[in-house]
Amino acid sequence: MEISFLSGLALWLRGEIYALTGLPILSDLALDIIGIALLLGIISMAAIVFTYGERKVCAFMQVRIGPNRVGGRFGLLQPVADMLKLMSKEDIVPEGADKVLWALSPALLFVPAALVYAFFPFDAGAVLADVNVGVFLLFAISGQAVLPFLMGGYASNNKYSMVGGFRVVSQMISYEAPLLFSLLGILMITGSMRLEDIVEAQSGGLWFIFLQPLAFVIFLISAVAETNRTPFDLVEGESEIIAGPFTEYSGMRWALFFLAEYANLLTAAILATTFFLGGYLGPDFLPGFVWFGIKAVLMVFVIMWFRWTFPRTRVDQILTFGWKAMLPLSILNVFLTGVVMCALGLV
Amino acid sequence: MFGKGLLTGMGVTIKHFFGKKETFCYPEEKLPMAEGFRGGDLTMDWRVCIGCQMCAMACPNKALDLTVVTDAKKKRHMKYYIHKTGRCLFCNLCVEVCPVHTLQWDKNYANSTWNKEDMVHDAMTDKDRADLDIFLSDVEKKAKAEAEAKAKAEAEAKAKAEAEAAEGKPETPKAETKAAPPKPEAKAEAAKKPAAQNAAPDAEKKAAAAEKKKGGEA
Repeated sequence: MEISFLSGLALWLRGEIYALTGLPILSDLALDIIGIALLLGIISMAAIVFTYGERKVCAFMQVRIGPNRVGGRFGLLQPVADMLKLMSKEDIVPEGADKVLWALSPALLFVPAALVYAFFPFDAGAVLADVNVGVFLLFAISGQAVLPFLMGGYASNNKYSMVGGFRVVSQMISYEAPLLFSLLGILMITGSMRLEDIVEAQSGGLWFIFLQPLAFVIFLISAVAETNRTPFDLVEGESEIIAGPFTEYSGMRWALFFLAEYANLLTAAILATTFFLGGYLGPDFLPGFVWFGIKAVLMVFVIMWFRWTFPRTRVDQILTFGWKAMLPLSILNVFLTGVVMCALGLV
Repeated sequence: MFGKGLLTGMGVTIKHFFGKKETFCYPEEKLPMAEGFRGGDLTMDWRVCIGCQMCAMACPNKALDLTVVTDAKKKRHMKYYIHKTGRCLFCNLCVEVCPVHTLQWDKNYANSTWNKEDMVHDAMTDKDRADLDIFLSDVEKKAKAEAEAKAKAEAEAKAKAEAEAAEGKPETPKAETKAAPPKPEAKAEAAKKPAAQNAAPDAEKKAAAAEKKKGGEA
């Protein structure tokens, strides 16, 4: 296995702890805990940085300045102020709510959003859970995110929340199919479901965005739909159903939804990076994880760019588009990939 | 079709993303007001102001309360230029009437106050007044110095003249030459007198003619 900066650091740390304690189990455990803490740190940092980034991107695209009061000329402490505000808010439980489900929903939503980070190769060898069915597990887990939305919507005892919950189910299940089919071509080419293998298959600048441009477009659209962001933010759709399943949530419970949303945003960006943009591969003057970060942030910017450019679509439009355009196109992509592979004698 | 409009839209937003922003940080930065904007407080430069008080005279609402001081050279200066914003109707007459064009609006439109008593603005700041005091004392010193120099020069001239007079008495030829010049003046006066006498009869004649005319008309 290739040793990168991050994996080298992990190996050195493991060796040091082993030398100190003499127990291999302890060193493994310590490293796992460090890894988990790092991932949670990345997710929280992403939420903090992206809220600020989103405000600024939104402002710039709307010809405004954006946050400029808290924390100097550029409002750098705005996320801190937002967080303090959320933490100090009253926790209101609606009357007639199913209290257990209601409290469980935000926590359950955050679990799959955070869990998928275990499979991402941030650098060569720097994967927390290096499994050979990574892609399969990843989408199996992220597919669980549908249920907490519906739970929250149902438990809030609110019409808008319920409608939002229904919309989540229809939308996320519809777009899961094209999302997975768009990746099938890549899986056919690489012949592996291990994410690191997929990244390594793109070495030499032969990124899959050049080999599978149609799949990239389908993947990007489906990923935006999966993360419930504009133009597919029917789930929240503030002008129609207030905030969908989040309507009755306030304070830290709402912040958890928010955290999960930004974790999903970063997940979508990281997936696009890993599958189509060569992951941690890049010229040698920067370490792999920096390239990974640059590409992921770029993808996040693109998705934010979508959000502040396009208006919201209608429910029937979104489902029609998903089933009648995205799914056939993604299947066509799989078919074409197979034909080309057959013609080139790769099978 | 096929996403062309979407790409156009994204082009527009990215152009705005990097372009100049329309908004600004309001209390720190303000829009420049139009040239003819009337509002805010009055400003003036006491160095330019001639203290004519025509602004106060032009004011239809008596919103200006001026205090003028006169310096040692009998020039007027503004000491307090109190603009009662609450009384002012921003008609611009004071600014228009200013002969030296030093009276201006500061165009600061954010001038609301909590109390009626705060709706008063002095165009002369305390620093201006301190400068004015220095200026006044300078003028006074200068005037004093000039007066002293003048007095000195006069005294010197007098002393010289006296001394010369004292010296000149014994020397008769000098005294004669000095006494000689006044004579032409006397002649000139003499020449003027007849002319005045000549003028007077003319006036009498005219008045008589006017009376005659009046009588004729009647």
